[in-house]
Amino acid sequence: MPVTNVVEAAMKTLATWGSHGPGAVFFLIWAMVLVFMMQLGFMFLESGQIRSKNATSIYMKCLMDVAVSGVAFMFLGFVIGWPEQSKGFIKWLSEIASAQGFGANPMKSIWPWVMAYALFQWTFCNKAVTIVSGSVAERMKFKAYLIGTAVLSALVYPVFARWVWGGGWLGGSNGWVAHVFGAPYHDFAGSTVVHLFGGVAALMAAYLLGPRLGRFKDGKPTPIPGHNIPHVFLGTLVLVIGWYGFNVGSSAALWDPSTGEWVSALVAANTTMCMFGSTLTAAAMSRFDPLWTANGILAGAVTVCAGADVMSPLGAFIAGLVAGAIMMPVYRWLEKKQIDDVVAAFPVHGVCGAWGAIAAGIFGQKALGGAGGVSLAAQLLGVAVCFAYTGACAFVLYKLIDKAIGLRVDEKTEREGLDSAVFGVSPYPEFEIR
Amino acid sequence: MGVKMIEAVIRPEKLDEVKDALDEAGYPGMTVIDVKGRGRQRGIVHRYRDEEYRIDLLDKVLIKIAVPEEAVEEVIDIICEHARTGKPGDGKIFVLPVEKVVRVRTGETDEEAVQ
Repeated sequence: MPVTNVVEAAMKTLATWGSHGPGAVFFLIWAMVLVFMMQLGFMFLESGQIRSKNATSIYMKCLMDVAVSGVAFMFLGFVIGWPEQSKGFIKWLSEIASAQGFGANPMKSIWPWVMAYALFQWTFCNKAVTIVSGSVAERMKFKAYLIGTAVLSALVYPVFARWVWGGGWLGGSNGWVAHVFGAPYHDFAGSTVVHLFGGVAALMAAYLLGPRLGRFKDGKPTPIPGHNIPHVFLGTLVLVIGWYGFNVGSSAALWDPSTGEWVSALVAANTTMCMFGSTLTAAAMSRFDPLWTANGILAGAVTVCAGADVMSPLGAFIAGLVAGAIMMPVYRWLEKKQIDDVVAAFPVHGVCGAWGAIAAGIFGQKALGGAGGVSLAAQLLGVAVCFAYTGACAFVLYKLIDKAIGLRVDEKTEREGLDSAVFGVSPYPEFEIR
Repeated sequence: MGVKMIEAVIRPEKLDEVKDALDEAGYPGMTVIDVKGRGRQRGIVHRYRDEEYRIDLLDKVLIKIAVPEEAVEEVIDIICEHARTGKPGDGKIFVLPVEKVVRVRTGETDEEAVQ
């Protein structure tokens, strides 16, 4: 056999290995584990910012989110959002009921990669819906919350994800947006698909719930300090570390010559640089307020998702500087409207998510050192669509849940604390007086 | 001569210093209670999410120490010397009469019971 043929065969094997073979499967599972770990980050970030009498309720919400969104997504959401990969509802269910497909040799079958990809996508969906739990903390009914999680995971999230990531009208290279604006809507890792989505759903839920008792006295915002600042910092850094799986994993392949996707050091660099910038401005603007500084590093992580693969590290850093500065004014505005977003989920995930998509349209331009192939107008449209679609769906969803079983716990339960009233336990039962 | 109860409200961070000084001067026995309280300044201002809120009851420590009447001034001096920072919030000392003291183990009473 001539040498060129041998080289060609080797390259082909390598391409299979990296695009959906063992390399890609392992890469997706590595990323999925990191994103799954972000659930731990949410648990601690949120529990630290609420009173100890409700701490267990947050842990329970974040844990039940895993199972509820998992079932909703694996049986329905993945089929709706990713029909090309899942091959339709019937085929997907038959694969779920069998060990053959997913257990096959990944060098010969696509199905092991599809399952790794489905798990990876589920962890994103799980993050998106869990964003809600923090803003509705200390006052939302547990069952109402879980119904919201199930519907968001099974239906609402997958539809928008398909529009952007499934070759749909927003993000598809042959989609409507690509035809009109010359470039598709670009959201690499989910500044809008995950974070703006979660932030807007959180805002709607918090708005419909109303503020916690005592949060506004005669219309004046009154802080309700949380019970554990170290938890906030622990959760923040767990989230940030998991973010590398979220962003770097979003190429979904180690090397795929057919789509030009590969594991990207640029994405890792941009993620890091953007967090540097946002931490600095958030710290400076809040005069080193601990919670805003912690939110600051998350603001950068949220912002960088959309353009992580098209911005330069310097562009990402500048986008981060902006991200750190735009959360607080929006939080003050929410307070003026007497909306009680307990953990600032909308300012962090919503506002910075929207900014991230816009920043991809700015710093992704070739003139600013970016990789090109983005349109600022398309980015603005994508943000507006995400906001309107998620806002409308979440508003109707939580309104319906409110009509059916009620969104909010009664006043006695709220004063006593959800841990004791709903779960019959305190976070530190040893210290209850007997 | 009888027994007096000295109740000193001090800063929690000064407890170790006061306790050691009392111990050294021969007053090892005491009861310490975590308390909250305030004086003329009515608390302090803290910041949460860069918004100010007032904490109008502060953490303090209450030391209760029963001594023979003739030792009262010495104990007061020791507490004042070691609990003082010169800033508002250093606390207060109250001296109360004690009707009767009994040492549980031996049944000794009054001054004998606090020696």
